[in-house]
Amino acid sequence: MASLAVRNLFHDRVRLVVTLTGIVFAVVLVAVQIGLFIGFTTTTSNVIDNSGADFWVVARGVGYLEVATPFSEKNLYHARATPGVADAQKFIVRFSVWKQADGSQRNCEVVGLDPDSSMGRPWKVVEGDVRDLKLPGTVIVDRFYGPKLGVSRVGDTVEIRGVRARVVGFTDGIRTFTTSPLAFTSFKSAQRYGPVDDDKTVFLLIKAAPGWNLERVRAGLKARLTDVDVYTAREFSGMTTRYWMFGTGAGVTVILAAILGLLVGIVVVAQTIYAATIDHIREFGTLKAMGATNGYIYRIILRQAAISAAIGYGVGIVVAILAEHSSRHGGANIVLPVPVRAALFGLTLAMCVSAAVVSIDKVTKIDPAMVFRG
Amino acid sequence: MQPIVAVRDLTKTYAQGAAASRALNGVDLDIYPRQVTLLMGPSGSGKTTLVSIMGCILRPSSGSVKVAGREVTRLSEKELPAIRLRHMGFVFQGFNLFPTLTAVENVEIALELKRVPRRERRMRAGALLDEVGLNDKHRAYPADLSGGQKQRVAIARALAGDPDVILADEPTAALDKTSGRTVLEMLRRLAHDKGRAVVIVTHDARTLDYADRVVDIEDGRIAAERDAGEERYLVAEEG
Repeated sequence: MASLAVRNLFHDRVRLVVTLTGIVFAVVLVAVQIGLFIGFTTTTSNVIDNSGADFWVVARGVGYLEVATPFSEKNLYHARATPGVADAQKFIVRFSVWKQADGSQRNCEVVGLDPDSSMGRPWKVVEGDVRDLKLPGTVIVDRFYGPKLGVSRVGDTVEIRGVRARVVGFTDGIRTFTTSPLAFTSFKSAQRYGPVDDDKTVFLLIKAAPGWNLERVRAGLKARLTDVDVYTAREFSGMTTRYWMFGTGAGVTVILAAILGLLVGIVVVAQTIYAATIDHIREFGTLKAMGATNGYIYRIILRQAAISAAIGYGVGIVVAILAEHSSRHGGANIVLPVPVRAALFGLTLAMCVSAAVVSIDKVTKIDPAMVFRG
Repeated sequence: MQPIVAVRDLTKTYAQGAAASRALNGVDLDIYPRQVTLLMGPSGSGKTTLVSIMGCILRPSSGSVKVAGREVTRLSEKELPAIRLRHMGFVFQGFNLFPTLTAVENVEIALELKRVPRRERRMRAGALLDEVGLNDKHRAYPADLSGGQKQRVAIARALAGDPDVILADEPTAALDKTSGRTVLEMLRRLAHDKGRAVVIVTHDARTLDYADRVVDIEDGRIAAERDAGEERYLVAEEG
């Protein structure tokens, strides 16, 4: 049976190529769309996910990171006095306007942090030092956005909302979903770039003391702080991701494209496997006449589908991984973790097997008496 | 001698209502081991329908078919493949070999259906090909074989399941004279030396030389049944 399945599959090379092209196309499309989805979800919340904070305190009613409104910094002192709080820091994320030396302007997201704190710091720093941000009017930006921001080395100067800013370092690989580059700076500088009033902050980042129950710490914060909401980092990350991915429709588009890829794959594979089954229908009739059960013939067809799936997935995932690597140097961020790659194999297998169902239905209806006709 | 296949009052009607066409109409027939039985008759007389029903691949409209003493007309679709596998071997006019498999693999597949272990399959398939004179063609693909060689592979495949009955539908129709004789001689030896019941559906008068019994079918009925020697005499007289 194995040899008949394999031989029939490889006998018609053109059809095999068409089948595999369909599967590869579907795998690449689905992988890239899922990779983009994961990449998007990662970038929408990367500031929160890399903050190192246990809690994010935001003005009441704030739904996601980029639209937070400032609130009184008095809450900082109340937070620090809350039992179970090891550290609390003011933090700013605000859209602002970046003006290059040549006068051209573009949006950026100013991230204001305490350079001495372990929370909210830029990650993936490849040049410079976060402590350099202690100097007023200094920023760290990502290398990827350097050309767009008109900076290429430490010491370059620009203006953010009319205030001078000097580049003191670079990160590598921090993307933003909004396409507005992040400009890490000190909290004080961010208040000017934001702008944010001197007695206000946009967020409080809270680190719980080791061994404390997080819900108890949150209850304490809620009791002491006024006009704010207290979220765990995971909750706030989820809220921000859901907003960008589903509130704006961006994620739905990506998911629809992935589903479309899957459907195209199923149709192409179903069509080619069906055509192959029709071509070999007399052989299947002969097998039935010889005493083969329907199950035996189903296994031949399913084996062909599985082999097609394995080859198509192998080629497709290599292309998708190449796309993932090349995306590191491009605008789109494709992320394909190993578990996702493994799940994609299951999906490809399911796609091919479901595509074979049409052929199985055809085989079920074969009249073995056909073997006596001409 | 007990018949290996016993057919009684068999009818087969295709379609229904005004379009109904009766292919078999009250057929009684016994098939015996060690005999070559020819089913002869004009096109559309019901020969192929009869052999399909005897081979358990077509259901009759009414009547009884017993294979090795077991009534098969009431068996389910799931039970019939086992009967075919156990008792029937088929040889087709168009050979019906699997073009992507070699000669030995074509024979092996019949053994695989009988769940013969892989190693034993190759050995037995090779021996069967040797038996039909294809010692040097084990690895040849059907496309590289002559018509006679293909039919011999088909016979080896039919024998692989060690069946009681070989049902051959126009086995010489696509063969030249020499190949046809070789195949018929082979089928006769299967009946006389190996004790199989061989049923041959044919129009080919050359087949008479290799038969023990001739059954004439006309309009879905058995018109005549006689000893092949007598038939050969009549043909010679007419000649």
